[in-house]
Amino acid sequence: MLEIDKVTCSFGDVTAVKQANLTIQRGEMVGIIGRSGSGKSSLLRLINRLYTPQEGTIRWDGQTVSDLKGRELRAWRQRATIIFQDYNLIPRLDVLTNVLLGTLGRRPLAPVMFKQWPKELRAQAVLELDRLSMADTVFKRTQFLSGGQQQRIAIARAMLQEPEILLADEPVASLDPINAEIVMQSIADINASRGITVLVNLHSIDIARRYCRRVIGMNRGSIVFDGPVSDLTESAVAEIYRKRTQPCECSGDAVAQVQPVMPVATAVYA
Amino acid sequence: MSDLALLQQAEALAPGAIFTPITNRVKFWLGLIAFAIVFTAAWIDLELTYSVLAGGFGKLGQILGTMVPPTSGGQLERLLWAIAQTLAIAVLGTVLAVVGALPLGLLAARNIVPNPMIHFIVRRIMDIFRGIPVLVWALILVAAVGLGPIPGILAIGFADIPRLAKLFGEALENADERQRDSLRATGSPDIGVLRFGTLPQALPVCLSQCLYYLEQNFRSAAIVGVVGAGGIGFELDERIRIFAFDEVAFIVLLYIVAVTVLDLGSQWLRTRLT
Repeated sequence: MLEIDKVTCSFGDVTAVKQANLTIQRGEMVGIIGRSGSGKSSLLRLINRLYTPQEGTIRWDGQTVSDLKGRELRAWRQRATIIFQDYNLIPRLDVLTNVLLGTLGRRPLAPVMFKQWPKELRAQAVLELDRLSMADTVFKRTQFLSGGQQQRIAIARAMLQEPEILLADEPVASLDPINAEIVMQSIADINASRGITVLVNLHSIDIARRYCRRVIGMNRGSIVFDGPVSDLTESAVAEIYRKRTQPCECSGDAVAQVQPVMPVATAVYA
Repeated sequence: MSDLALLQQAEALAPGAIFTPITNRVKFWLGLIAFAIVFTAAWIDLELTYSVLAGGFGKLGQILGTMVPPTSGGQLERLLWAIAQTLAIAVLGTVLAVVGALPLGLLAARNIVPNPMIHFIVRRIMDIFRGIPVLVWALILVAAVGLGPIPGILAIGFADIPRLAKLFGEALENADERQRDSLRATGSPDIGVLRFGTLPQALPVCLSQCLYYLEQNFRSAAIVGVVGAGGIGFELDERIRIFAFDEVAFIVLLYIVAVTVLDLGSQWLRTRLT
């Protein structure tokens, strides 16, 4: 169980995440929506501990992970893997090596520096790629692959970490609709078949509705919505994407006029 | 499923991924052996023996001993002037190099000059002149122009023109084509694409290279001074010839300070400019 308790994280005078409270059970698949800059990415980076919160605690199965350091911190990052919008693969290395880099946190240093991995791990990498229909690309350099292929390699790399949580930061924002479906389906499969807890940041409310049972909405660093997809009505979405947290001097009418930035396909999927 | 079966399954999916072909490993070892042979050959060719090395280090120790304590020999003012002269040689040489390299760099960039013949010829000529090191230019120019800072400036300028031009050309070529496309799509003439699509990308890189060359040329200016182009190198050479190693040590320390100040200054400038 992931417990986020009054977590605040700021950079200079910008508060990325403000007093966030959140509890997520093992095996859940949770979507996070909100405007750009609403703190979605920061929240994931806080959980993986690329960022450290200034206030509050983050616990996983009772263990406090928000103040880990050194070796223990690295061990935690291995358990809470993260995939990125722009894949962040190493373009000059081949696909197999990229995937095997997922084991950097747990392999002895000397063989890894010379790109030596045991046969078993290489087999694991190939099989992981095969599950994502990518086994025929193992010797290609990732820079020559399409976005959808690169994101699947990133997923395979994440799986080689043998994680307990998969944090996906806008995994499909740079992909065309078909590749977006393939990648989202792969993430949903991982959640369903391996019981890995998934937190996924999404721009598309439509995708959030279809793949997640529970959705969290963020606005200006605060969690402003947390509930089942069925509660995600059009007005709730408008609230999440509202421009200002304070209604300022505008009347109720004016607030209603503020439309969500994303097209909402409620009618189709309601 | 047993481990072996898993390995075989993975190998079937991606042949060569699990059971690395023997040729790959042979290639690695052949490469290593080739390097070992070249290394040993170079060692033998230069007749490096331990006694030669040990003797050299012994002498070096004696010289280091005579360096303490360093002294200015009562000529601090003269030495500071010499360092200032060396700096002036470096600055003027670098300016000469930049001025000469700008047009050549433009001609050498494939995305600026579409005619492949022009940039092929420009690049080959630059390749030839890049083969002449600054010290050779200095020796030739001292013989031609006479002793003094002028041949030093010219030597640094001539040596760096082809080098900087190549770097400028590459900075221009590395400009992202998509940014240029977006301007071309507005109906901009070529000069507009160059001004706003290429220059903003290339200029910080070029400026940074100019500053780096200035730092390098401060060192080069000291070296060309030794062969008669004035400045601190000339003073250094004089004192080495009369074995005044305590004064040599003083000059070296003074020079290290000057180099550090220049490096810090150009580093500060670089973060401001880029």
